[in-house]
Amino acid sequence: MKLHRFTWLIAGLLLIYPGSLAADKEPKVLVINSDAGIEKYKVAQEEFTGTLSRPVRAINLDDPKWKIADVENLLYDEYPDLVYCIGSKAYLIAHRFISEKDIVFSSIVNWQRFPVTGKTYGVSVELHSGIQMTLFRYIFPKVKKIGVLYSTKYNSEWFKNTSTESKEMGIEIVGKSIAESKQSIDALRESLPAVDALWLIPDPLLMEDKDNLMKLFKACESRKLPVFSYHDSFIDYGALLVVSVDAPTIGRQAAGIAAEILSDGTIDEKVQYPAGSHIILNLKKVKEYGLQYNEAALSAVNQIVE
Amino acid sequence: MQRITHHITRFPGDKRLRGILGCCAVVLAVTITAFAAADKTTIYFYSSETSINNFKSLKMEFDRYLTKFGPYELQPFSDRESFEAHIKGKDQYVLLLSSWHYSKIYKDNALIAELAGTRKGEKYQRRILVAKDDAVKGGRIASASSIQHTNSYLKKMLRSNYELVATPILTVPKDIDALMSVGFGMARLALTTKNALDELQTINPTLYQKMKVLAEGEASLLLIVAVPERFSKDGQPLIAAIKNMASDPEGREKLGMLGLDGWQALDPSDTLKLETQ
Repeated sequence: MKLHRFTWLIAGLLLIYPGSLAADKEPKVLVINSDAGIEKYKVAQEEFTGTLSRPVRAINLDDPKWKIADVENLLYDEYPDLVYCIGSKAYLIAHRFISEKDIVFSSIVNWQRFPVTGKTYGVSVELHSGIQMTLFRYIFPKVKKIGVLYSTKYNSEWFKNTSTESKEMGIEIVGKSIAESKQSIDALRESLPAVDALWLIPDPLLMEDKDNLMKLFKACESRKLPVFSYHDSFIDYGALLVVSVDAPTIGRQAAGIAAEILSDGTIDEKVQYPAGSHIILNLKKVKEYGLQYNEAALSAVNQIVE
Repeated sequence: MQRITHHITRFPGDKRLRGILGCCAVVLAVTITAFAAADKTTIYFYSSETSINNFKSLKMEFDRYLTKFGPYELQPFSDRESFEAHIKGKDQYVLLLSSWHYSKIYKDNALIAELAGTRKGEKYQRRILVAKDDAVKGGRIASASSIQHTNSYLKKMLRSNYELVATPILTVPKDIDALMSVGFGMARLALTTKNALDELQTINPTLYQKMKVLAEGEASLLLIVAVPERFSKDGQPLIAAIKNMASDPEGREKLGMLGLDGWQALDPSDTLKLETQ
């Protein structure tokens, strides 16, 4: 009888063992969301988990139950093979405790200011300037000269590269550098007569003074100068066209990078530009300014303001 | 309704009579509302071909436009499963869907294709596979079509070479995004349309010159307007309103949101192609 029981025990163990081995081999993936209450972060997480098609554990740092010490314990207990970090808070925590692991990030403004390792991958938060210009042209084929205000401290390199790229597209970028935010109105007045539109870029100097920014929009409005920008919120200020990043694509792109890392595939670019765009067009203003636009491009516009 | 009940409560005389009148008013208002909703014909929209995701604007603009012609509304869907589940068992509706999707569901739902969308006067389009490097053997493919639709296209387009190229698909919102993903290094290949590549030639000629067409698919019809057989006769006023959109500046603007510039009736050869796709 005893022998019979022992045989069953061995058989049972043999049945369970290969299964547990397989379970051990399944890579562990953890998602750390800096704040799942932010719609774009939430969508990126949903698309990531939906696209990766593997079991994923997710935590939301905005949930009060997740204190730093608890996250630290979780990271060491779980010791995931790959972490997807949404937002800078999530990235900094993952990098601090398990920088030896593969980390994929997204939704980090100016990611270059953060520490990285050879195992850091990600999707940057801004569209490539060439993509933005292509889409400006797609909606407004007649735009030839675009004004840009920028600070030499933060964006001289960007301006140089963008000017070169724009020439290849037959667009002329008319740039005015500023040393402080207050100079932007004068700089705008100087460049106004020569341009078809103003391209408002995420320059920290331009963005630091909200009142000044409002004045800038008003100055453009009074001269019926279209403002193209990079963030949805500028539509309320009076931007005519906003070309920004498509949040769901960011999540899918991050999942693609994660899948390639986990399958030991090659990654062409460790930190990639976002592949999807989100366009808002103020059609009411387009008509008010008497601008010609490409009607066929309306299918590419995600939101029309009328 | 509030206004009716307000007048009744002020009605002089017997309390019982006021009560009866009040009940009648409520029943009448509910019946009118129910009939109005039941009489509304909905255009259900889902495109597996392009990730049109401007649903809020699309619904608002189409509803505003279609109201001029009758009790019509647009209901866009972001996924195939919900779309198909929603139309199941219903009789009175019009569908806007891709030709590929139509060929998959027309038998089960007893559908008739009435119109095909046009772009620059053409109702057919061609899907193409492009890359910057014509020797590329695989890598991430950017596509604005659903994953199922993309795989189906690739299998037809590449036949025996499909396994070689069948690699991860990155779904992007628009055909132009797919092209730019290749141009700016986020994907090695793009499944897009010939039309999108032609547009790129105008807006970014330098990028266009870098693109190599690796494979070309068969011509397929653009967006299809379909109705259930049972509703084919009664649905004609709405079909006519859709067909005439191109002759009205406001209608043309709404069509632009679907990437189209008109509609054309299908001839027998179109229907045959559509059903054997």
